[in-house]
Amino acid sequence: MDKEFLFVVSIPRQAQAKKFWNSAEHKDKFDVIDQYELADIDLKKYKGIILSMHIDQYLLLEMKDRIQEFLSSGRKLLFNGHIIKPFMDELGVFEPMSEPNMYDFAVVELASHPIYKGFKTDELNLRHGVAGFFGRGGNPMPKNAKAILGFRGGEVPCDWEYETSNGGTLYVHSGNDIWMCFEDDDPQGAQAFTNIVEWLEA
Amino acid sequence: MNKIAILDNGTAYNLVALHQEPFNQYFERVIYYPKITKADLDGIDVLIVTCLSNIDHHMQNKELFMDFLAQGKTLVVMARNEPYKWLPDIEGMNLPFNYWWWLNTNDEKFQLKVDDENHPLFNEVNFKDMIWHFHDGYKVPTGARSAVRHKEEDASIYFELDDYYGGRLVVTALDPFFHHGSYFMPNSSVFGEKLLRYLKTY
Repeated sequence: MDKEFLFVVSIPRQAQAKKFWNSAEHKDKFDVIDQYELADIDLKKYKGIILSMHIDQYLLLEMKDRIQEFLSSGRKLLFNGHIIKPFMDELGVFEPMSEPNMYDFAVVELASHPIYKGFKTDELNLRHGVAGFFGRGGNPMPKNAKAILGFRGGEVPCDWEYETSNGGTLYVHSGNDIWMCFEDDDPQGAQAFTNIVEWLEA
Repeated sequence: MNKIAILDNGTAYNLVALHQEPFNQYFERVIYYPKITKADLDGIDVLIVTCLSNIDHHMQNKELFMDFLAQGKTLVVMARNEPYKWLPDIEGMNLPFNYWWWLNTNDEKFQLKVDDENHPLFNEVNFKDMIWHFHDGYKVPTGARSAVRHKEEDASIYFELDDYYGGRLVVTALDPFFHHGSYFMPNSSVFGEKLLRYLKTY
């Protein structure tokens, strides 16, 4: 039987997310494929898709029509990373913050969202001890998208959610893979991944 | 002047670092890695294996790399490519990893030092440009010249081997193309450009 969700692996042998999608809690929910298998997959049989910051964006661009078709009837897509080749008409190219200082990187909550349920925004700062690990700018928001988290006092949205005209939802986190923003031994990485799965299921 | 080619995995950080200023001016050819052929290397003197490239593709292209070396050409392997899996006689060494070592350089476990101050690399590059973090290290092969090493462990962070299966090999544990292309860590942009200048005349 097909699984509910699709996780697309972009850096094989360095599949840092494996401990999350392969956990006892989640492994029955995911089909996991290499990104170069995307061409042969019927995306519409999944309720949700997770893409990593390492995805080959030439592939996404080739799939533009299929992504648009997928994003309908309540289906959800989570995109992590910087959009350099916009794969939907509504998207633009990632904009790094210009001349950021340490304080600009502080994450500000602009709207609550199930993906960050139980997290304090302070916990998203200085990930891995480095200002900017969580993100360093934003993928431009489509009209009518809802800003969730932002930098520079909220001026620069880094996380936002967008409902397409066909009733699909695109969630964009303009930074490193959300589940990777925590130390290896920090249970918050697994919690963030579980929150993502619960959001996909809802 | 050497003609340099570099491998493009289509990742956001490759699209920015390889196709945009200031690095793009140094490349004779940017090769889309999933579709690489031997003809792509015609007339190329230096091939750079970009940081965090797809290791599945390395395994599939072992022969292509050996063939390139046999023509007396130079292969440059950046960090996070596990070359000991696809190149002969290369031995990796696990080193402690610390994202924020560069913020606390007193921590001896993570200290680097110059191995050979007369190394030609330093005609172009300053040691301080090479300091953000590093991904493991390498045992120095017989006959190789190491420029930078770990202070405690017998591991090189950058070495060159002039007589390697007919060609020349450069291996480093630094990942400047990843960080420059991710708008993350300004030092990586400085080092990346100086390294490219160096490889132009290497």
